[in-house]
Amino acid sequence: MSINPYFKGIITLLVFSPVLVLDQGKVLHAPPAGVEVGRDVEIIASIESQGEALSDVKLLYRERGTRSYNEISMIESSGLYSAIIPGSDVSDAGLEYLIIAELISGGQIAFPEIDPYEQPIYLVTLLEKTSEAVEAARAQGAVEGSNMVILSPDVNSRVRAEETLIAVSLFYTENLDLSTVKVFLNGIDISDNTVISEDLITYAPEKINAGLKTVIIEASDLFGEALKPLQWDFSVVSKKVRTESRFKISGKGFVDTRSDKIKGQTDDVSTSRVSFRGNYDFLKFRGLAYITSKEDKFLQPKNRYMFALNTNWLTMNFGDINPNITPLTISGKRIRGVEGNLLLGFFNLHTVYGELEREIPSDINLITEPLTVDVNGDGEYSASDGDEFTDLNGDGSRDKAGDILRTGTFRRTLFAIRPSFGPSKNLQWGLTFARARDDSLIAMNIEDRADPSLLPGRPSRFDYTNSDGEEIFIDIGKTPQDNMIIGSDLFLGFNNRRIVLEGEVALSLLARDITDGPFTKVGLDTLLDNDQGFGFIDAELFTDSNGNGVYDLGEPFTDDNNDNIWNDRRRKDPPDGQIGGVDIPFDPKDLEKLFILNQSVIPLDPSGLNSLSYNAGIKFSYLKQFIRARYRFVGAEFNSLANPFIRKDIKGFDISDRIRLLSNKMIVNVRYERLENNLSDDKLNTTVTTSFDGGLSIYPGKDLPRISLNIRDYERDNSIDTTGFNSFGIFEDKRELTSTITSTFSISYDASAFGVKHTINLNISNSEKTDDFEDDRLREVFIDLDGDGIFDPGEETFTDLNGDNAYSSFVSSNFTSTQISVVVNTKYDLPLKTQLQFLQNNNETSGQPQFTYTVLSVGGEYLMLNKKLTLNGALKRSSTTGGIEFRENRISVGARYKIGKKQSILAKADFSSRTENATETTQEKKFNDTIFRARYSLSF
Amino acid sequence: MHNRYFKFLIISILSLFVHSSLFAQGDGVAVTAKIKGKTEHKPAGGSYQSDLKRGTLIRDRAWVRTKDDGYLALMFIDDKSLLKLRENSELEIRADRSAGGLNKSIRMSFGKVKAEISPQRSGEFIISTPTSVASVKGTIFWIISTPEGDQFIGIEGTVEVTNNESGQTVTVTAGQTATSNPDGSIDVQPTPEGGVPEDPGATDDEGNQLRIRLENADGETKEIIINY
Repeated sequence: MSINPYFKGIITLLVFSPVLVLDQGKVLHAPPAGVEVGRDVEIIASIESQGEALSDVKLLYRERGTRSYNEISMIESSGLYSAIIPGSDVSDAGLEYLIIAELISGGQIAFPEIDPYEQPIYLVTLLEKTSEAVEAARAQGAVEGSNMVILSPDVNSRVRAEETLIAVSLFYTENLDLSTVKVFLNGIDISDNTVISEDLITYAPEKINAGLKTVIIEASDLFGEALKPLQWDFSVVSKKVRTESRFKISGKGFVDTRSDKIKGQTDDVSTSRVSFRGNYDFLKFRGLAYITSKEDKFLQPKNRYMFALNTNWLTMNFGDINPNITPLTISGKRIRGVEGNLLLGFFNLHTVYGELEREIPSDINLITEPLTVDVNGDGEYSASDGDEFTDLNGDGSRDKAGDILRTGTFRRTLFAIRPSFGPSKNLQWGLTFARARDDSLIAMNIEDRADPSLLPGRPSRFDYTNSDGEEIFIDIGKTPQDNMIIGSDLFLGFNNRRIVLEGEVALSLLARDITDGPFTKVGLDTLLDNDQGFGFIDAELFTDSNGNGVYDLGEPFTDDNNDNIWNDRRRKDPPDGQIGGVDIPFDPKDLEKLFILNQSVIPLDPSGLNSLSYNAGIKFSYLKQFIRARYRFVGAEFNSLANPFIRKDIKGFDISDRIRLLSNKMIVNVRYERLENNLSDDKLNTTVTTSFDGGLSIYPGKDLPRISLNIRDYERDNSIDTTGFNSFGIFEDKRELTSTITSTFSISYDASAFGVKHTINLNISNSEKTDDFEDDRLREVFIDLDGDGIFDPGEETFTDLNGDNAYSSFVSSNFTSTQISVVVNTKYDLPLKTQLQFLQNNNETSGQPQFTYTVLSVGGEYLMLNKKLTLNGALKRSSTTGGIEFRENRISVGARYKIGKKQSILAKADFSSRTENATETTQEKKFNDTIFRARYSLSF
Repeated sequence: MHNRYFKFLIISILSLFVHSSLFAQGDGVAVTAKIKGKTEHKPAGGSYQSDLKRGTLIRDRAWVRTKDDGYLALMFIDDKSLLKLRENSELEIRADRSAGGLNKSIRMSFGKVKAEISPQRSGEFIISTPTSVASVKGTIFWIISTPEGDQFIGIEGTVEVTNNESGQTVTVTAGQTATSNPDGSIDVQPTPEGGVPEDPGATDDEGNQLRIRLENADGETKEIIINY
């Protein structure tokens, strides 16, 4: 007789669910003020994780009204996490984002804390100061951001050598620092021979060789921010045959090092980044490498590598990329791999292959307490045998495993392919296949673990032999998965895309555990063939030593099928490859490369369409209006491992209109959405969410304030209006009828006072969630005699004010968050800029202390030595009250010196004193933090 | 005493006014894209000089003219509209800035000018001669202006032409020519063959061509043209 070793070894089963663990910390963040359409937005946050290490901090953002979130990893620097939302994603529809800090143990902290995915932070976006000018510039094909317009030569045109004139209009540019304009022709800096005036950049060469030419114009604005370079190609022709090809490259990079001492912990970090772009004849390329000493094989990658090749008909991207196949398959999530997009007009092919997540072994804090006296000599510890052990940690019990140090991840790869037909401008029909699969075969336990007895295994499962010779098996709870999606999408555009019809449909399969691979034909027969009349027979018998009627480990049995497991029943009907008398038409093992089909697949029966997802929409763009209406349906069992932010089990519609008025000086936004869940009708009730958004943005003109006002009403109603006791006698109140009203007001004003120019940004927002049942719930109280938090009928009393004969164990979900921020940027006649900022954020949740986060800062920047040397400094005071409480005063000083035209060095130092208030369990703590940083930058 | 101070103040203000009028430069509005032969340029408040080169910025209220062998192409910096002046032509450029572009108004004294006007965001593009006024939103046409009258030759789009004397307005479309005379008469006729002037700046030869003629068994031919 043999006993399954797993039974012997199992000592614990730890199941972990990655949910938002709000009580373990906070994300401290001040939403930025004065966000402008088309401009980059920097999001900065600090994470108070109560001492627990972070594995990653992500920023998820989207244009308001869209479904999918784009994902960016926030980069940690000097104790702050930051990420930049590119200006190309900032539209006048507004911006929504949330911050997720992932703890090393698998938990998460979010901002906002309440329902972050459904109710993310909303940023109103101010119309550009020169919205009409920008629109006019765009009509001329201006490069976004700088608004430079190519006058001559036309893109990809051919010109005679003696007529060559490079001319770029600066008519629509604003705040362009002419001293920073650099003009490169085929990689050679021709700035010194170029006429750069307020309106125009011109270069009229006396002599120029025939051949392909690439012009790149780089510039910064008056605030020192680099603008998106303008680049285009043309050919110079002569009567001679052009025979030469040109290789051109330009780029920039930096090396950065810093040494932090934060809360007594020192942290030295070095980063370097290089990016380049160029072309070889018709082939364009660009690349990026970002390397940080924070790279850790036990975390998801922080280094970034990317190389892209581009022609008019083919794009190839390698490395860290954020592909967009379709919204239901992959849209905006980073992968490390290769992407190809072949554009042939009628036929196009888009493919992606890469690693969504890399393998990270899970880890636990192993505690092995050696058995010192094995009384009965069975090699196992048993208190009933009188065995003794050494209690190493003095907790009075024998421990064999400690805390989870890391939950680990499987290596997850994605393959997606989308052939499409039709030119993308007005018609395109696509077919999509995507497969995301965890690799369960090559995972190893921690390779550098000191304990040599560790055995290879799954990253979230520990198999090892302890010092007692006992085989330990610990399952963290994760399982490798397999996901397949097939879908189709259609795009139809009419009248120059003023009318657009688009839709997508997709069906998913998810195998939740592929550890043991696919079914065999026999296994499928065994699982699904439940024809009447076959029944079961007892085949394996056991000796019931203690007479309790059940098989206990250690009791001998007849292992009829030699599977080392005592089976209480076996099928009479031997597997015959048939289900219901019909031959199984395929063997799941044959499909293994496509999808691992086994008993963990959801849905097991796809015909119920629970894993179906589809959406359809129509857009109109007429008469200065942009009207959009959409319907969506996402089945409860639809799963896309490459797009985890899709909200499942919903159907509903939304309709919106964006109206441009008064020559685009005013934009009105309205949007209504209604969604409901319980599509499979497997829940007790259906929850309906409705939201209404109304917004107004005004840009009355130069020297007048830009104003944006927005209001949102978000309601949830699950139609339950009664309470009751469950089968355990615990009172249940599942009523939900809440309303969250969020209003945001933003104003930006350019004003002159005391002879200097100021830009004042004021942002006020208020979000209030109210529970319509709160009054009803508040009226009921009960006396909890035994303090078990449960109403015990007959022993305890309660006041049933609402007469429903039920006690309401009320926990209010009411929540109020108010934020005000004022930022004043001032430019003086001197080469001096200053910034004054005040921000306060109040969060009030019923039953919890009010949490307030306050920041006051003042800083400045001064240019000297013919603008070669920039000095800057800042004072900042931040504090919190309620929950996590601290006060911090920080002083920052720094300098940047330009060496020639292409190099600069930067040095910066921060000094701060931080006091953390005493809590019930901790004493007051004081820290003196320092941060030193140096950076060398180079462009070429 | 006060009177002296007052006079000094007045003189100073007038001096500043005159000084600023003399030396103030208008905004840049166009650039010389092509140039051949003899051409001249007169900035606002200045006198004609032969200082034009490829890439010269032309400012508001500047005059330009071409001599017997001259040719000049001006490109507006807001929308890439082109004015191509053939020999013996003269005009003044007026363009007021607005957020959405330039409001352009051209005063043509005489000559032959081809106007390739991009769609206008800020009002209409106006070209006036001593005899007529043409208003366009976006089109291509020729103007031939002489003391005896004007011709407006439509190439693309439409042009509204008004006779200054009579106030009569006609619309000229592609393939039509309007004749506007100092006596107030204005007429539209189909453009006669050969009636469209040649554009010396047209990009008719921008490189070499390789032509490969293919013939199948049936004698059908096709030609592959490779420009390089």
